[in-house]
Formats: sequence, structure tokens, C-alpha cells
Amino acid sequence: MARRVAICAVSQTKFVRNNTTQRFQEMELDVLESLREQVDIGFADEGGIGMSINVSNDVFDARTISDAPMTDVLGAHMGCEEKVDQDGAQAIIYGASAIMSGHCDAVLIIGHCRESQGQSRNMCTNLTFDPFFTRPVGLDYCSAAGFQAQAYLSKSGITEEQLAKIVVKSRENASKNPYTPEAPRVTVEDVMSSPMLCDPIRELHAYPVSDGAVGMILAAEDLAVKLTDTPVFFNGHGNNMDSFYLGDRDLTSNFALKGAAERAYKRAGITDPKTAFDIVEISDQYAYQYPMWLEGLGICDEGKAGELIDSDNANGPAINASGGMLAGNPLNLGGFVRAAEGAMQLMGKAGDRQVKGAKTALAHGVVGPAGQFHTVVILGSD
Amino acid sequence: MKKNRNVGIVGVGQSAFSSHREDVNQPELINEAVNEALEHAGITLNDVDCVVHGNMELFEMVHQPDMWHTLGTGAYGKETIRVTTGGTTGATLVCVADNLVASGMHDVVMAIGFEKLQEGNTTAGITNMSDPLWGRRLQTGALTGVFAQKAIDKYGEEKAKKAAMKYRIIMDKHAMKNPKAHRRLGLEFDEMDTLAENSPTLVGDLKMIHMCSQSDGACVVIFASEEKAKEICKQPAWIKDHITVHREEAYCAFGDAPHTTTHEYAAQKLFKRNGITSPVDELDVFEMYDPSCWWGIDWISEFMMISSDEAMKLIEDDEIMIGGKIPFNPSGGVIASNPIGATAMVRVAEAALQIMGDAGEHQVPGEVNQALASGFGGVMWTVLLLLTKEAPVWNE
Amino acid sequence: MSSGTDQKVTIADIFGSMESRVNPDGVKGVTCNCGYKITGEGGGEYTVTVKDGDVKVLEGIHSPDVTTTASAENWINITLGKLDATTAFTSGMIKIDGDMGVMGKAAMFFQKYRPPAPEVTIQDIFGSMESRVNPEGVKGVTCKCGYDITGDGGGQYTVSVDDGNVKVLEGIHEPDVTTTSNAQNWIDITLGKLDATTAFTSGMIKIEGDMGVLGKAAMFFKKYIPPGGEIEEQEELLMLPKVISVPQKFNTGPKMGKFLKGLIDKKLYANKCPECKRLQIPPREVCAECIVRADEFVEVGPDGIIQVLDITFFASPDPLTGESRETPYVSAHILLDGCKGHETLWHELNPANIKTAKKGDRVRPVWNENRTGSVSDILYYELIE
Repeated sequence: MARRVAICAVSQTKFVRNNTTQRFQEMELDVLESLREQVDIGFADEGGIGMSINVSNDVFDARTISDAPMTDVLGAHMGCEEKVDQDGAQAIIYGASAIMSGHCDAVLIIGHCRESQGQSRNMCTNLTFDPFFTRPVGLDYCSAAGFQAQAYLSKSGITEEQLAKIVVKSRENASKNPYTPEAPRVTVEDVMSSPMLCDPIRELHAYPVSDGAVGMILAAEDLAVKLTDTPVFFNGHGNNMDSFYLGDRDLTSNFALKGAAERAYKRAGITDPKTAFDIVEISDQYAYQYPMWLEGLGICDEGKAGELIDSDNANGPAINASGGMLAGNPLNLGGFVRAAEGAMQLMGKAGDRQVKGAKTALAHGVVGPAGQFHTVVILGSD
Repeated sequence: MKKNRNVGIVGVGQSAFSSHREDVNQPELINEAVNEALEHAGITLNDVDCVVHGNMELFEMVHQPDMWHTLGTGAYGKETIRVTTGGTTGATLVCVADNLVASGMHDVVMAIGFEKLQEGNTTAGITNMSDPLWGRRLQTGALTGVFAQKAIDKYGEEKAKKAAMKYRIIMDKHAMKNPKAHRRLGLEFDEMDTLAENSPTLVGDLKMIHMCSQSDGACVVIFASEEKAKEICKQPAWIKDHITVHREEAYCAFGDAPHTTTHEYAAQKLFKRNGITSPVDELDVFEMYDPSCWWGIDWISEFMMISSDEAMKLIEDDEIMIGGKIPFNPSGGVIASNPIGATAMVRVAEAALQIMGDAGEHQVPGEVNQALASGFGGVMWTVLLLLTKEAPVWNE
Repeated sequence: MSSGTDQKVTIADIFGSMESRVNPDGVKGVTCNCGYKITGEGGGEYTVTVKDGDVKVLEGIHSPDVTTTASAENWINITLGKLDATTAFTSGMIKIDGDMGVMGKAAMFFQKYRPPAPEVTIQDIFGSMESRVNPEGVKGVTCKCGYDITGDGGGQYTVSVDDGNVKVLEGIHEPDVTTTSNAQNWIDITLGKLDATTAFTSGMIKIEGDMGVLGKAAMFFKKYIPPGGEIEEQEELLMLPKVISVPQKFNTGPKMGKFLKGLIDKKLYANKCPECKRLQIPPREVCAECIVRADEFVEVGPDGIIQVLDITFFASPDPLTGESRETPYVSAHILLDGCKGHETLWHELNPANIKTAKKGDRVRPVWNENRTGSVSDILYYELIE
């Protein structure tokens, strides 16, 4: 049986719409310094950080080998550095595996993304599609989400008004979260009258463009308990890939997410996801995904997400107390920030958005067109 | 270090490497290697728990290519991870797969390194790694004459140039025995002088004949836990250890001061913790990531922890040839085939085939008990992997 | 493809090549005689005799078990796969008399017939060029490419392009670039049997002069079709050409930003690590050795000493514009005054200095008159005489 892994420190920059004052390097350096203030750990093969993982994307950074400029701020000069080119939640799983395998004792993970750098994030995600057919017809993550939203809304009966409530709630929660981009509180009417991006997705239904960085330090249990009084244990994980062509999928089936969740629950020994968590942080890039992903995760029953929205989930776990991805994180950091938020809650360091006595958390990340690939990470204070 | 559990390589697949793979698109090219690896391992996709994928996005200009490539990788319904680190990618993917299996997360992992370099401009793609605010105007991909100059300064022009061409022709002779290799030119030792004279100059004393190819290709390696590996495979190639050493972004090594290269640093550390004192004697084969023959002749001493004179002698005495004391790149190496995201994985795959005894015509004679594979990339980065024929035993 | 494909294919060649095309698996254990009456121009009568796997093709009809009658044209088309045999039989284009079962086996007797390779000459390759001009490829181009084709069947030619107007002349006439190759290699390259890059790399062809012109020359002409058509028709797969770009705005931050701003005032700033005291130029946020911020700036240079020279003869296209720069150019690492060890600045050297510059020479920057805070504010470094 492999040794357990815990998150010992977590840090993020404030995510802002357009960070004009820093290069990527300094954004990650801010995170590194904050992490090293929290825990006293050096870089070493044994008993220290033996591996640094960067989370970034070459297309968003417009740079081949986008981790090469980050080695310096990952403390990895003459050391081990690797790059996860997916949602940063995947880096947590990989970092944990490097500790569980015995290869190293602690892992540093820092990710950055600057969605403001390129002319349009849709121009980047258009390049995900095959160059022969789906790219020229103009698909990108937003338009692919539009197809899924249409299909899901007609299946679930979720109304425009309920979608608007999700956005209102996200902005309300985000107002207590100092790391999200400053965004005014909005009303249901504001959301329902905001311009259409990609029918039925409106401008206020979409996550904002933002720049920022986030990081954490993972360590083997015996080291973690020496480093911190509030270790957050990595208790389970799962991910799953759907097929590529939208036409090959049932866009409302939640195939990839259900598989990812099932694997994570099995590994964490969870039988009833409705009652298992105090904190649920999901990557809702678009408002329709909030109910859809909750159903896929089994946090509510299929077809019942509308009720959950209307009742504000009064009796269930705190969902997106951070404001969620709708309140602002760039594409490849969505799940990573969710996990960081979950860990901060379990450490009791979530400030104004702290949920009292939180002991278990679920963090969710998603990449690819219309949720092709999902990641679920389960954290616990023991 | 104590490894949680052993990991063995149980299957290897490679597409044909070529600059003319217009016959297939990207997922199809990957699928060739996937099928060959599954067949080599004697398993089906159903037996694979997790797919590890890597290449560099700006070479083909595809964002998150693992999405589209799912059509060829067979990742549908499976767990996956995508990791990329430049030229080292393929070797890094092996480290990832090793960690995923050793940790107990997965029993069978399939790692895929890929590049279809003819679909973009490789040199421009590499140049794009440079800082957009400074180096992009100054860099020319991975081309540099610095290492030729270094060898010429060290050995004298005639000796250095002769060694470089000898190394080049040895690699071609090896490639001629490897049906997968991209460039198989049929060079002979007596052509050395005319070849060097006729080949066009790239940078300084680096000529086209010295440099690696730009290939399309995919490599797939399948990994399994000790229990599964012994079920699947008669002779797995076990992963004893691996080490990754990166350098700072600005490669601060262009001045008059000594510095330890990542190759030297990684080799010393890896050999020390595995009790290897004389690599030339203790290793049976080395698959080295050699982007040009100038780099090749320079790195022999760094990896083998020997003096540069001893390294020269290994070349002169044919000791790095198949049948020699420490054969380098029986596959033909990177000079013969270079699909960048796959290249470093091919080194590991070929080292594994040597241990498994499945390398075919380029199998080295005699027992292969211990094999080394290297990855190179980024700003002079190194990944080293040590493979063994016997399953490693871990003491507390 | 070309309608001339059939010209070289004769009934005599189809039957004459049969013994060399025997498929051992197909004739194993078979004994029979098949007669063929091929009518019309170029026709003839033949008998294929198989005796326990041993195959002989005889002229004339000799006690056949089955006899096939067809016109020469139809039989050639069937042989080349252009006419489906079953369709031809069904529609009465061929007639079969005798044991049909034997005919079923006969389909497996031989491997696929390949028409004889057409005669390709250097003269034909160059002679057909003017009729193969690719208007897109020569548009706006003016240049002369010389070809010195050596050996048996060789010759000298110049392809002269004058603003898109193409003429192929015999002899070498003031070329911008000259390609030297022996005749056989050039024929193989033209037919796609030999990869041009491989040939170039290994010195099988030599190129002297402006490489950039040659890059364009690859687009001047449409594909060469040998007389008598392509040797083997292959389905041509499409390739989709695209230039992809996403406009970017790169932030400079306080370290790089200070450095770039300094260039406007002809000043070069390095930043200094508070711990190891090393200088970084251009400045970076952190000292990677010590993992600490480096906030102190020091003015260095602007003159310095060459440490490393890289003379580049092969230009990669600019990743941002797709344009290739002029070669050769010199990339250099320069130790500016006030710096030591590896604290070098990466820039370029004046191409005029290529022949004389060496490690240790002193150099100074040549400043751009219009400075905007970018790498091109320094045009290049040049030798201080």
C-alpha cells in the first residue's frame, strides 16, 4: 500500500481581467514565495521538494515548451521540472503519484494562464479541433458549449431564470472571495438581458477572461504532518475521456464526468456523494454546466438540479463558495483553483467565505470541447 | 529511495518514421504505433487503464491535441494525462507512466509520444520557445555550431571532424539495420571526406549531414505493475530508476567559467544511487538522444563519466558500434529518426527492446542486463532512465 | 491520368511477362491449359499451360480446357484493372468457352501486371518544363537557376524566370544558383523516387549560390509526368495548407520592462542577485540559482567582448511573419563591460564582420535610430577596429 499524500500549502494570485504589470514568471514567483512562507521546506531529493510541476499551455502562452521560462520560479534549476498540459487538477494527481511511487517526498505545483494575452481565447480553442472539418466550420469551446447547452436545457427543463440565478449567486459568493476578478453584483434581469454569445449562452453566462497563477505543495504524510498542522489529504481521484466528435456523443449524457466521479468515489470509498462532502467546487465555465455537472457528479439526482438551484441547496454541501469558475479563473486553472479553494476551506483559511467545520471536499476540473475530459479530486482533513 | 512497486515495460510500438507520411493524418499515425504496441504486449485496449499523451502544440498548431487524437489513441472512456516538456517529452512520459504504475494508481499504462513535423515548420516551432521579447529574433531552432567549435578547440580540427563523421556513419550503419528508421543512407566509412565536403553548411561547422532529421512518427510504450507484467510478458524491461534535470531559462554557459552540464550532473547522480561506478563496463547498451553527431561525440564523455580522450578512443575502436563494448544507438539514434515528441520515448523503447531481446536485426550480441536511455530538450535539459533485465529488489 | 498510359502496354508484353509473374500459391497443385484468342490490332493467340504448378506460356492455341476470346483493347483494360472482368463477361465483351471452374483458378495464377517503365530522359524533363509552368509559383519572380546534369544523358540548362515569364535555355547563363547532379539522380528526384533533401544532405546533389531562390524554384513547375504516363497510378491524397496565427500582446513586467525602456536611452541594464551577486542580462524576475528576487539594477556595457559566435547559413522563417531572413548572419554572446563569467548578452554581429570576427574581439552596439524598447533597438554589434 502506497503512502498517503497531503496538501501542505496553497496559494493563488488575485485573478484579474488583464494583468499588465507582470510577466508569467512573476505571477508564479508571487505564488512560490507565498507557499514557502507557509511551510518551511527546501528543494531536495529526500525530505524536500524533489519535483516541480508547471501547469501551462503553449497555445495560450504563444510559446513552445511554455514551462522553459518557468523553471527558474519553480526552483527547478538543476532539478526535476515537468509540465502538465491539461487542467491543473491533473497535476495534483500526477504529483501525488510521484510521491506515492516513492520517487520523491514532496512536489511543488504552480500553474499560470493569461487568457488576456491572445486576441481571443476562442481563437485558441478553435485550434483544438481537427484542421479538416470541425475547425473550418468554426467550432471553439464556446460554440461547442452552445450545442451542449441547447441539448441539456431542453432535456432538463432548466429555465433562463434558473440560469440567471446561478450567475447571481456566483457573483454574490465571489464578492467574499478576494482572489476573483472584481465584478459587479448582478440581478436576474441583468443576466437575462445580457447579449447572446452563442445561443443559448449569454455574455453573463460565461466565465470571465482573466490572468493569474495558483500553486500548492504536496508532501508524503510523514513529512506533511511535520510541515503543517492542517494537512489536507488527497483521498481519491478519477478522470475520464469522452470521444472527440460532438456527433459521436450524447451531449447530455455526462459520460465522461460520470466515469471520472465513479472512479474517484471508488478510490475514496464514497458510497453516497450527496452526503459525503462539506465543500463542492465545480468548474462551471458556463452557467448551464453548474446544474449539468452537479447531476453528473451525483450531488443531485438527474432532473433535480432545477430544484437545487431554486432552493439554493440549503441542506446540501456548500457549492462553489468561492464563486466557482463563473466568477473567474482561466481555462487550464479551473479545476486547480477549485482544489486550492477546497484545501483552503479544509485548512480553515478561507476567510469570509469559510464554511464552518468543513472536513471533506470535492474539486472538479474540465477541459476539451463540451466537457470531453473531466477530472475529480477528493480531499479530506483526515 | 524505495519504490512502492516495480514497473516493467511489456510492449513497444513505433510507426514507420518518415518525412513522407502524407498517407495518414495525426490520429491515424498514432494508431499505427498503438496497434503495434498492443500486439507486441499481446493485450487489447481493454487491458489499458490509463493513456499518457505528449507532444508540442506549436509544431502542428493543434491546441490540446489529446482531444482530437483520442480517435487514434483509444483513450475513450479511459483515464488519461497529458504531459509535455520539449525534446525530453518522450522520456518524461516514461517517468510519468512509471510513477502512475509504481504509485498503485494504475496497473497498465500506455504512453504515447507523437509528432508530425511535416505539418508545421519545425525550426520555427523550436525558435518559438525563445522569449518573445528578446531571443526569438536571434535563435535558429536547435541549430548551433557551438558544439562543433568546442570539439574542434578540444581535439584539433582534423581529429574532431573525423570523429564526428565516423560517429555519423556508425549511426547510419545502425539505422540500415532498423526498418523503422527514417534516414537510411547506406553511407560507407571511405566516403567520410566527400560527404562532409559536399554537405551544405547550416551553422558554423555544423553541416546538414551532421544534423538529425525532421520526422513524422509516433512511439508507444506499455507499462505494467510487476504482478501484471509477469503475467503479460516473458521478459519485461524493468524501470530501475530515472532522473530529470532541467536548467534555468537563460542558458548561462556562454562565458569563461566552468559549469556542470545537466548530462554530467544527471549521470553522476543516477549512477551513484544505483551503485554504478564504470558505466562503460557495467552498461550493455545506451540509447542516447543525439540531435547531431557533434553533440553525440561531445556527450559520450559526459554520460559515461570518462575523459574526452577515452571517449574518442571508443569511437575510433568501434566500441560504440553494435558488437562493441558499449553500443550506442543500435536503432540509428536521433540523427536517423526524429519525431520530436516521440524521439526521447524511442530511446527508452529501443533500450527496452534490447533487454527483451526483441530488437530484430539491430539486436546487440550477448546478454543485455542493464540499459541506459537519455532524453534531451528544452534549454539543455536531461532525462536519464535505467532499465534492467532482472526485476529490481528494494531494501528498506 | 495521361491518356497515353496504354501506349507502352502490349498484348505481347502481358503474355510475355507472365512466366516472371507466376504466383506460386495460386498455381500450387493445378494442372490445366487456358487458351486466349485476343482479336483486333495487336492481338494474338496464346496458351497458358500449368502442369502441377509449373507454368509455361506458349504462342498459339494448344488443347485448352477453356478458351477466352476478347479484343486487344478490352484485354489490356482488364489487365490494368480499368475494366472489371465480371462486367466484361456479363456484357459479352469477353467470351469464355469450356471449363468455367478452371477460369476461376486462373485469376490467381499471376501477380499483378505492371506496364514497362517509360523511358525518362533529362532532355524530356527540361524540354517539358515550359509546358508545366505553375503560374502561382512563378508570379512576380525573377531569377535564373542553372542545372549542370552530369554523366550519361546529362546536359546543361538554365531556367530563366523574368517576372513570371519562364524560358528554359540550353547551357548555363549567369545563374543565381546552380544545381549539380548526375543524370540518374536527377531523374530519380524528378520522379519522386529519391528524396531531394536526402540527396542534398548526403551530397548527391550540390548547390551553389542563393539557396532562397531554390526554395522558390520548387514551386515553379507542375509535376512531371513521364511519357506514357505515370508508372503506377496512386490515389492522390489532399493536403490542406493553412497559416495559423493568434495575435498576442506580451507584457514586459518590471524587470524586462526596465531593460527594454533603457534601450531607448541607449542604456543596458542588468539586474543583480542579492545573494550570489551574479548579473542577469536581460534581467529576469528571479535568480534561478538562489531562488530569490533580484531587484537591484546595474548599468553595464554597452561595449563588450565576443565570447561565442554562431554563423548561421540556414535561416528559419520568422515565427511571427513567416518570412525568412538573409543569410549568413551571426548570433553572438557578448560579455559586456562590467559583466563576468557567463553573464553574456545574446545579440547579433554585423554581417560585414563575419570573415574577421573571433572570440575575444571587442565590439560596440550600433543603435537603431528609431528606438521603441525592443531587441531591434540595437541593429547589431560591430567590431571596434
